[in-house]
Amino acid sequence: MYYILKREDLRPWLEAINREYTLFVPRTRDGFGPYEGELYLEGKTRLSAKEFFLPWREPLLVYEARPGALPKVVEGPAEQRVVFGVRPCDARGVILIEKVFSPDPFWQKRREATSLIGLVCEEPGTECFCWAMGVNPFSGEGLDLVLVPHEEVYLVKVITEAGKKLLSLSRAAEGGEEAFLSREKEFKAKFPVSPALEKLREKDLMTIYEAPFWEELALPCLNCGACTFLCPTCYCFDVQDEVVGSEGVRVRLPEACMFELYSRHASGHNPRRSPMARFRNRFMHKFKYFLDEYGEPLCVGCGRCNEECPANINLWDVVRAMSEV
Amino acid sequence: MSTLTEKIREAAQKVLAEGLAEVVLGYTQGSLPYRNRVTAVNTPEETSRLIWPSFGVLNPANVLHKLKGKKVALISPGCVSRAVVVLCQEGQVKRDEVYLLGVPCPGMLDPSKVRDLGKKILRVEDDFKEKVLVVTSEGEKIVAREELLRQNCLECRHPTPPVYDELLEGEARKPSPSPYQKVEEIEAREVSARWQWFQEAVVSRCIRCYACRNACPLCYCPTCFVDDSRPQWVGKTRDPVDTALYHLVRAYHLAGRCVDCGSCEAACPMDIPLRLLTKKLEKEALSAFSFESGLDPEAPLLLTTFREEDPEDFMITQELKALGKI
Amino acid sequence: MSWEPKIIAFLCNWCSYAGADLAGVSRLRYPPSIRVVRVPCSSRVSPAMILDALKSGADGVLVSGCHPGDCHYLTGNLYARRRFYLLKKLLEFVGLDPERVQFAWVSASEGDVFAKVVTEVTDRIKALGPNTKFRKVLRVEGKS
Repeated sequence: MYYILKREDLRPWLEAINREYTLFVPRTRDGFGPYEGELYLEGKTRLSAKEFFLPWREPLLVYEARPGALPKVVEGPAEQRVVFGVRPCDARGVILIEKVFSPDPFWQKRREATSLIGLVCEEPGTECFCWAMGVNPFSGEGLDLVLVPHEEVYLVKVITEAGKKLLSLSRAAEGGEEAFLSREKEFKAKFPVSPALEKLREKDLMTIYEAPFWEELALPCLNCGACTFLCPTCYCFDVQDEVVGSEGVRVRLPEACMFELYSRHASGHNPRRSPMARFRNRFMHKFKYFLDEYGEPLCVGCGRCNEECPANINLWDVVRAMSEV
Repeated sequence: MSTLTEKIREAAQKVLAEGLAEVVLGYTQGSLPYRNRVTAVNTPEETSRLIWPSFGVLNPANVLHKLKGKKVALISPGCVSRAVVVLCQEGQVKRDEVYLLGVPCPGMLDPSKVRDLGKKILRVEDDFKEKVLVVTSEGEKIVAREELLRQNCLECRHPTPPVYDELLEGEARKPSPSPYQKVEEIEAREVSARWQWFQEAVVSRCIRCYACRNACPLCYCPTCFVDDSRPQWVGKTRDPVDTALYHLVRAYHLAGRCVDCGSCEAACPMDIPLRLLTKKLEKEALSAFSFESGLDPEAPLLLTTFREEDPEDFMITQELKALGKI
Repeated sequence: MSWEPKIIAFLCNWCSYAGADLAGVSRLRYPPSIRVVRVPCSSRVSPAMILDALKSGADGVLVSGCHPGDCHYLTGNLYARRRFYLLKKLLEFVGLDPERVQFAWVSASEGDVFAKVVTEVTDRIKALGPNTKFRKVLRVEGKS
């Protein structure tokens, strides 16, 4: 089902949603926050919508150092949340992470409590390559509604029943299918298709792993966590106990495979001791291990890593080297 | 091509050919018009990769630890030279294991200032003197270099390397007449306003990716205090107290060592003004102890020495004594 | 009962700890606000220890060592003085109430000075109120 929403009707719609649900929007280029009037729609945010499902700090259980006190599992957020302005690449990231996290009760709870309203980019960003990673931003995958900015309106595609219900709070009128589909075609034409992924599927894992190019490509890498923390598909986590006095909370938080501590064993042994080994692991995970296991790369082409990497490591340099070894 | 680039390639070829070094560390063009990348060059043929960058925002001295055992030449503007000097003072690098190809630095441009000039940046042409031509998807702009310079370059006290083995010809920026202006702006605020600034500009923005720490050429501890688990000084989440503690101790650990190369700030994916913390300590070291880092490989470090007349009026006993209470 | 601050006092083994002992032996009165941690030298105290005390719930921190020239290790306190100067400036800069972190020289014979210092530090921290800025609180609800 396709609809047309006038741009001036966007705010009233958001206000209406905000009255019935807890609404989150992209507030600035930095990222999302509760809707309080601020709205950033010029491009994707620095921090992805991943944080709604894998938050920066997820309490799992609370406990007390008192005889007879049992640890209590923390109940996740109960209220229904709506996130507006999710870029389709971020939504696709949720689908990819779900392949791993679907049995996790904390993940499930957050998924059930959250509706996503997608917003396709006006123009692909400088470093964007969604389509090259097999992501069609117009498909609405992982979203309840998808909006496409077009002239003075938003073209809206309804994906789920929940999305339909949300849209009923607006003044959107039926129509716009043709324009939607032609925008989709135009957009797709802007992305060159890369043969790299197909080649990677065929490549022998150990050939890539042992290739000589890793040292050279990893040289400038700082092994910081900027790429993994900004990435909408990186899902590795750490579990920590935060204790104050006799009370504690066990929390889950994002962790980066780039950190030495991430792969250090309790014995002190670290199978990925060298910075190069950690660099290699991130790309092997995304473009070989995950690809072999689930049939798709663990990347949605949002380009955040390329844009923000302090050392200017470019994902395509690595993917190309991996596919051509 | 800028003449500095030509001079760098020529000098690098000579260094490699004459065996003065096995590797040359410098910059090459990055994947975007406003990004440059640190690169290592092993043969005279490869030197064509080297450039004098407009956006050489990371300090190549940071990569030295990956090249241990090799004699390394570094393309060294002031801050690179000074970082190597501190590494020498701290016994991390031997002075005769590095060859400093000094460059009188005209200052570098801030990638985010350039990025903000248009939707898509297609090309950047820098004359390394006065003007920068930026070609964007919306058209061309000519901007005064001064407006696009990185903050640390605007505040740089040593654009010409204080220590080098060979100094290329060229014109450096003049040392900044007001290096501590931004620091003083914060100092002038009330306590609560300063705390608010710290929370909003630093603590709440930090995602704990440690890019600032890892980008720093002087952060080389085998185990950083944030990675200690017994005791665990710093919790790992974005808790505001843990994050504040991280930033305070990180900055403090650079007291008397930081050479203000600005790598931390450039590396930060969240644009946190990290340099203000280290710059504040630099200012205090200069005013209270007449100390500047990275000028002499033989000199003692700020915190491994003292003077009898060091200030102590900040101590409560001295305060009470002055008031006649004790 | 009025609120009493909790102050962590890092006292050097050779001077200030003995000074505190003398204050006790001399039956001098001072507020029961300090919790003493005995350290070999004031230069043993790192900024992380001071901040960790605040983070863990202390309302203030007092570090006290030998007078210059009296250090058991000859110069430990002189190194410490530089470090503490810079730390104090940094804490001031970020707006962490500067009065919460105090440094002192107290010799083994200065029981009276020790009592006065603790009284003064306690008064100042009382005026500031409990440490809420830099105390870690366990939050159970997750962020977004």
